[in-house]
Amino acid sequence: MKRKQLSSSTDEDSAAGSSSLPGSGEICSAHSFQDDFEVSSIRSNLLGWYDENKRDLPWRKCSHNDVNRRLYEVWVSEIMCQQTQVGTVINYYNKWIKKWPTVERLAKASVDQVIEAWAGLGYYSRGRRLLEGSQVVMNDLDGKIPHSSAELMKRIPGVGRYTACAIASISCKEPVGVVDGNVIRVLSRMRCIGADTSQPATMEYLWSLANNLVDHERPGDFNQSVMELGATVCTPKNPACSTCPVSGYCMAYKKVEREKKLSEERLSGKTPDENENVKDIEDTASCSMCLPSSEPWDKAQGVMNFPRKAKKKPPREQKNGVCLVQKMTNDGHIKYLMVQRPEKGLLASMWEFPSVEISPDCTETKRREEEEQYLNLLGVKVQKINQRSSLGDIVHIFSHIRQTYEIDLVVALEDDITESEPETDQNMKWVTSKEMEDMGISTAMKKVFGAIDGSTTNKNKRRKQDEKNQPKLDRFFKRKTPSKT
Amino acid sequence: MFEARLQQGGLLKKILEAVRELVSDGLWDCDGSAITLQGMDSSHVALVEMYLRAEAFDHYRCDRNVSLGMNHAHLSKILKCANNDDIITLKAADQDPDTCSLILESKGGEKTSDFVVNLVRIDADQLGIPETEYSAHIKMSAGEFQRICRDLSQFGDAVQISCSKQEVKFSSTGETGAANITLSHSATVDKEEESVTVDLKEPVDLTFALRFLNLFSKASPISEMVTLSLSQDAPLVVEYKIGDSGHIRYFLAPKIQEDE
Repeated sequence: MKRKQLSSSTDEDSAAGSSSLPGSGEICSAHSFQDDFEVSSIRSNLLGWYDENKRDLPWRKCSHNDVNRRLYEVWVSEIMCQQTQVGTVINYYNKWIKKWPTVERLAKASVDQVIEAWAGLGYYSRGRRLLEGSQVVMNDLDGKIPHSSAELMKRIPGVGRYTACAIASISCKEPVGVVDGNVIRVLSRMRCIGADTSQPATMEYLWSLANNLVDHERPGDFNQSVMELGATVCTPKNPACSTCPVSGYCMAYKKVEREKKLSEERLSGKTPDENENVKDIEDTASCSMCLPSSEPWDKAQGVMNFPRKAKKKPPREQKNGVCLVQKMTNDGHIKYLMVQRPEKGLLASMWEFPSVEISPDCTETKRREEEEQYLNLLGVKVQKINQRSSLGDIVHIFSHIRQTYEIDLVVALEDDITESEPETDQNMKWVTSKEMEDMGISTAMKKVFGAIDGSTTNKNKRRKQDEKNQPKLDRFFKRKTPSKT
Repeated sequence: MFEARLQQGGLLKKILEAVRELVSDGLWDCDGSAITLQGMDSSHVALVEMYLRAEAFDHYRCDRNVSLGMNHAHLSKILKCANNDDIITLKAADQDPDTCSLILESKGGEKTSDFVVNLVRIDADQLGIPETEYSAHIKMSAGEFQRICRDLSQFGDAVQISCSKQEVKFSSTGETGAANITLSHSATVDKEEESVTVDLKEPVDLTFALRFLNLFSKASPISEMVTLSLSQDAPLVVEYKIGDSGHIRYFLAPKIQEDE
C-alpha cells in the first residue's frame, strides 16, 4: 500500500524525499536531498553540463513537430537501449527508422521482419513486444501513442515503468524521473545508498529520489543528463569525479575527500579536529539505506562502493548438440535444415539448426543418437550419410546461461533424405546459406554456422589471435632483390 | 665447375638438420669464397642464414657463382646414407645446373656411394639484413639454451626474454600457470661451455614464439655455445659458430605485446 502512495507523491514539488520512505527501519537524512536550494543547484549544474557535453545520437535530433512520431522514435530508441550499449544501438536504430518511420508502418510488419531487423541486438522479445505495441496503438488507440507515463505503462505491452517515464518525459515533458542502471549508480553515489539495489524497497527509494530531483521545465533533458552522466562520467569503474558537474553534491565523493584529508593530517602529525568534520555519513546499523555491516565501506573502492551489487549467481552451464544437416539437392544447391524456436522463452521465434540439450558428460555417440532422434521427431530421416564429422564446439554466453554447442555436420544427397509428417508443431525449412542471411538467426547460431569453415571454433580463433600478435620479418628487413613475380 | 670436398661429412648432416625443418627448400649460393644459404619459414616469421667459408673444405673449387636450389627433404634422404666420418663431395656444373651430385666415401676408402639430386627452382626473395648494434648479447651453452626452450614449451607457446643487470630471465605463461628460468652472468667458471656471459647496454624485454626457438636449437650439435643478440622491438638473433669457418644465424620477429 505504501508503495502506491509513493509513486503518486511524485507530482508534489517537494524536494525532500524523506517524507515517504519505503521498507523497514529508519533512514538517515543523508540519503535524501537536503533542501530546495540543493535540488535546484543540482538541476542547473546537470542541465548546463548536458547542454555542453551531450552525445550526438540520432534519436536526440528531431526534425519535425509531430508528437506522435516523436513518441514513436523515443519509444524505439528506449527499447533498443535497454540492456544494450548505445554505440551498438545507433546503426540498428537508423535502419529501423528508415524501414518503419512511423508506428503505423511498423504495425504492418511481420514478426519475421522484425526479428530479422533485431538480429544481433539480443533479448529478442523486445523487438516482438515493440511490434505488438505498435499493433495495440493502431487497433485500440486510434493510432495515437499515449502521452502520459501512466497510460503508456498501462496500455503498451513491453513498456514498463522506466520506459514509460522516459518516453513521457522526453517526448511530452511530463515531470517524472527515471531510474535505469546509470541513474542507480549516480543517485546511489550522490546519496551513499548502500542497500542492495536488487531489492524492490531500494529501487522504490531511488524512484522517489529521481522524482524529487527531476527538473520541471526540462524533464526529458534532465533525465537524459543523469543517464548520460552515468554513462560517461560516473562510470562503473574509474569514474571521472574531477570532471563531474555535481561532485559538490555527492556524498560518496565528500567521504572520499574527507578520508584523504584525514590521512594527510595524520601523516603531517596533526591530530584531526573531529568537530571540523561533523557532517559525514557513518553507516548506521538501523538505517536500511546505509551499507550493511557485513559489507562495510572499502576505502580502496572510493565512490565505487556504490551502488552495492547483490552477489551474482554464476551463469548456468548448458550443453547442446547441434546438427548441421547439409542437403545436396538434385539441382546442385546446398541447403541446410533449420527449425524455428518456440514462441516463448530464450531466443523466441528465432531460427536455429536442429539442436538438443545434452548432459554435460554426453559422449559423441550418445550425442549423435540424440540428434538423430530429434531429426526423426521432425520427420527427417537421413537414409545414407555421405559425410559425417564433428566440427568442434562453440561457447556462447547468454546473460544467465553459459551455452556450449557441440556441432556435428551431416552431409547427404537429396534422394537419401526422406521427410514425413513431423511429430512436433515447430516450423522448419531447408535454406541455402544465402537465404539464411535474410532470416532471423541469433548470433550464437551464426557462430555455429561459422564452424563449417572453422572460422569461429576455438582452435582457429586462437591461431588467428596468435597471428595478429606475430609480425613477419619483412617488417624489419628489406628485400634485397626486387620481387620476381 | 663447382666442386667442394668435406673431410668431416657429419658437419653437412648437422647443418642440414639445423635448417631443414625451418626451410623446406633453400637456395645454396656458392661463390669463390663461401657457400651461403638464406631462407625463411613459410610464415615469414623466422629466417636462417648459413655461411660456410671455403676454408672449411679440404678441396674447394668454384669457377663461376652457382645457385643450387635444394629440396631439403630430398637432400636429407641422401645424407641419411652417410656416416659422420664419411667424406662428402658436392659437384655441380657451372651453367644453370639442374642437378647436383653428392659422393660419399667411407673413411677407409672401401665404400663409395654417389647420388644425384634434382634441383628445384626457388623464387624466394632474399632479405637484406642490416648491420645492427644490439642492446644485449647473451652467450651461453647451446645445450642449456635448447633445454630451456624445451622445458618452457611445456608451459606456454611463447617465451618472454628479459635481460637486465647481468641477468637474463626466460618466462613462459600458459593455462597451467607460469614458469621462470633465470641465468646469472658467470664468466669466471673454468669451463667455457658452463659459463653465461651477459653483455648489456640497455635492458631489453621481448617475447618470442617458442616453436621457432625449438627449431633453432636443432643447431646445438654444431657448436658448444650459442649467442643471443637482442634489441627492443627488433628481431632476435641466435647464432651458432661453425668452428672458425662459418656460422648459422637465425632471426626471429618478436611478438607484439597484447594490448587487450
